[in-house]
Amino acid sequence: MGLKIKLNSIMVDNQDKALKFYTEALGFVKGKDIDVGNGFRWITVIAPEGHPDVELVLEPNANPAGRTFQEALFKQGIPATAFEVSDIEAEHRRLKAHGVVFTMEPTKMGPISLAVFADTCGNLIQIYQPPGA
Amino acid sequence: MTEAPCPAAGALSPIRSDGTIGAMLFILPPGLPVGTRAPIVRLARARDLLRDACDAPLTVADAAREAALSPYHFIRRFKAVFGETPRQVRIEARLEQARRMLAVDAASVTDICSAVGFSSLGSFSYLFTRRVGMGPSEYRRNARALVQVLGVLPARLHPGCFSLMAYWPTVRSPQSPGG
Repeated sequence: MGLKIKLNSIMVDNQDKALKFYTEALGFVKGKDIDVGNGFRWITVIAPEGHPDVELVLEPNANPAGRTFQEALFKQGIPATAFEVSDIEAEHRRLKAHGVVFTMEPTKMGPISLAVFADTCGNLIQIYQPPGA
Repeated sequence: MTEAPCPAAGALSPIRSDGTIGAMLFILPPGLPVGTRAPIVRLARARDLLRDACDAPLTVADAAREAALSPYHFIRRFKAVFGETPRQVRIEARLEQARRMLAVDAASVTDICSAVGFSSLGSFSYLFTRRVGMGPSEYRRNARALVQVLGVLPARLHPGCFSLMAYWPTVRSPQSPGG
């Protein structure tokens, strides 16, 4: 296999805020944090569970096109990405305690449960509990 | 609150026929309020107003009205959703506008300061330096050195994609060919 999925990125409106939210509230672990100049950093976070080799890039949305896209998704209520959880009720309680605002409380959709919250960086994020979890 | 559900919702199930979760996971579930009066949309619109308020002195109370919340709840809710207070968002937007103008406009620092809604050059310089890491004049000198097409910001000043990698020093490792 020549190609592997190593990086995925999410646009954030402020990298300091993003690093704080994704580590402190969501519980990800900081991967890289490298100053790339002009006030921007190359920041990645890694999920404590799941594949340790996949990093999520917290990417500045300083490009106006990126910001337009991000804000349009937000206003349409569409999540920018989704994370899998094994117990959505527990995760919902834990995030609520962190002051996270949910735009959709945990909701059963057939065999899975979904919830959507604001990540404080301009995105809506979906969490879902897969069947049998 | 009852809002018209997204027309596409429900048409595409997040569950594939084999029972696994498909690519349609992000399709809105039926009934999710996405109408223009949904609280989250009103909050986003209030943020737009705060950002656009360079010349008009829009108050936080005005923005709260847009979000249909009392100023107290507006500030709390806004901070919880966007991670910043309405005031911070407004200052941020003004400083961003100032950065753009410093890089591509001919106006003086003082003129830019008042054009983006600051009444005091002192507080403008202070906030600018704290946020950007250098004063407005120094920022202008640095930015000007990069601007090659008049009126157009160089890509370096607005990354937001993997082009950032190009400026990542460790990308060019010794073993990578042509690095």
